[in-house]
Amino acid sequence: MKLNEAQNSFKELTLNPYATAELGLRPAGQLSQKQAFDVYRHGYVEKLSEALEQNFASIQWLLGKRIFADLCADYINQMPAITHNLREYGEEFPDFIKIHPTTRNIPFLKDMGRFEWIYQNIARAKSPEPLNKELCRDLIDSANFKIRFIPAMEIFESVFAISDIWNCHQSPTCEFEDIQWSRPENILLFKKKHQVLVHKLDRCQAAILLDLQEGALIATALASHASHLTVDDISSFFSFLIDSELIEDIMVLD
Amino acid sequence: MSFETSAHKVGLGLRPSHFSHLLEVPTPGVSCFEALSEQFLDLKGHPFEVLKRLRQNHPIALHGMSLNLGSAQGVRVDYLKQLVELANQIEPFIVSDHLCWSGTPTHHLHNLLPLPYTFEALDQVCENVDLAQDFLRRPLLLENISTYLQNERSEMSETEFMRLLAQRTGCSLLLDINAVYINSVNHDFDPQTYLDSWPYEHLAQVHLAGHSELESLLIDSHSNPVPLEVWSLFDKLAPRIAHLPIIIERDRNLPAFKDLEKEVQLAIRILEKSNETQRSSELV
Repeated sequence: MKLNEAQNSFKELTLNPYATAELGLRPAGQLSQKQAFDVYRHGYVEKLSEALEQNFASIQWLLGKRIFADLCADYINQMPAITHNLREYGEEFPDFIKIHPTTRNIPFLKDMGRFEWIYQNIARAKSPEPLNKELCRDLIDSANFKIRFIPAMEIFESVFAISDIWNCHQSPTCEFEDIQWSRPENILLFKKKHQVLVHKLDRCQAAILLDLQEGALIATALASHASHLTVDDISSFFSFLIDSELIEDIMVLD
Repeated sequence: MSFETSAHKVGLGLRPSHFSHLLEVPTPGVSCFEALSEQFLDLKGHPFEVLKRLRQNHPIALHGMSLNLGSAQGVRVDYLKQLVELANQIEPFIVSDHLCWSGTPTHHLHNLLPLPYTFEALDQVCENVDLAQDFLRRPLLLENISTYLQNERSEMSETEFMRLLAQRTGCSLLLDINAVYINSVNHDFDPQTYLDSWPYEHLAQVHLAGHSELESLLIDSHSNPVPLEVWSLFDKLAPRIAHLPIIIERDRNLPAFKDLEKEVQLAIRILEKSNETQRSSELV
């Protein structure tokens, strides 16, 4: 048997406990061939499960270790790892738990998964290089301008109180029963120096930020919300953007 | 705890849970660190920034799990390009991976999988190592692995395979003493006989680690301190390897950093009491 064929058969025997093939292999010690492949299969499942635990720690907390482990096993069975990079493993996990029989009736679970995936991506992003705060303050006095935000930032919308649930997981004294989870949220996730920060936005702030992220001029972004905002509201919102080091550049238009 | 600096190069595997300690506390007793290449390949985020900071004061080796040098379908060039970029930025004193395969183009199996020691496999590994070294513009180090299956089609011993591989490609070798001990128990052979046949003329680095037990089987989990049996093999080898960099690996059940420093000190004491009478190579 050629090396290529042998490795393909080895792969099948590692991934599928019911596969059979004669590869001329001698197992270690008193093991059967199946038990020896179980060692490799266990190592594979363990590494991918650890990646899912790391990426979806709050989902694990919500479901408990045993149910989460069963869910991971089903996911790993359906979604083989393609690359060496375990950080990329689990992107479809939120969609998977939305339709899995064990979890499909938990309404907020998919959004919790999406939130955690975004959080991890921001955590691993390059540290931002924001525009100097004094320069920001000078430039936003201009009549009209566009803002380019740091790449390590995302606005997350959900009809559930995802950040409240997530904060509950971070706090040892919080009880899940105390959370009013059926409440919409707009959340800003961003990286400041080495830390990921999670900040709640009101609907108006989220809409303005989304417009600005898409390249709208400041005058256009604010115009649609003029009736809801005072000058102080706008000033305070921009101070927040500057102090949070979210602005990478300001392009002033003549 | 106080440490004396040593002429011997004994270091530790670099793990993220020790980052904050390493950034705050000097570690004069640890002469170098070995970073797992895959954790830093994307060249961004906090881990990479920590690695670059540590590099300012410490020699760094890069040790990979996924170069897939034993694959019949060749090395993944995308991985190799990332590794080249990482090596360019970190300037490691060693770049190493394992003598094994780890997947196909459609599946990464996240295991170090055994090769048959055949001439066909040797040709394939040599081709892959040549390609990798051409990209990296430096010799690679290849490490022996622990196995739970052995190939009955093998046409030569593991050590003969490694010797031929090093001769044909110019690569160097990394000896994992824990893997030798695990294999000796699991496959029932004498580890000293195996070590006597090792091609020391190509040896450039040594690994020490611990393992776990699953019934009668030893598992290469790096989850425990270096056990007495492995220290004993290291002690016997010390005169031949005292000039080489030694790295202690620990991946699971990670203790406080000071506990790992104690293992480093023990390795240094063993090397210091051995007389370097049998220097094996001039590679390092």
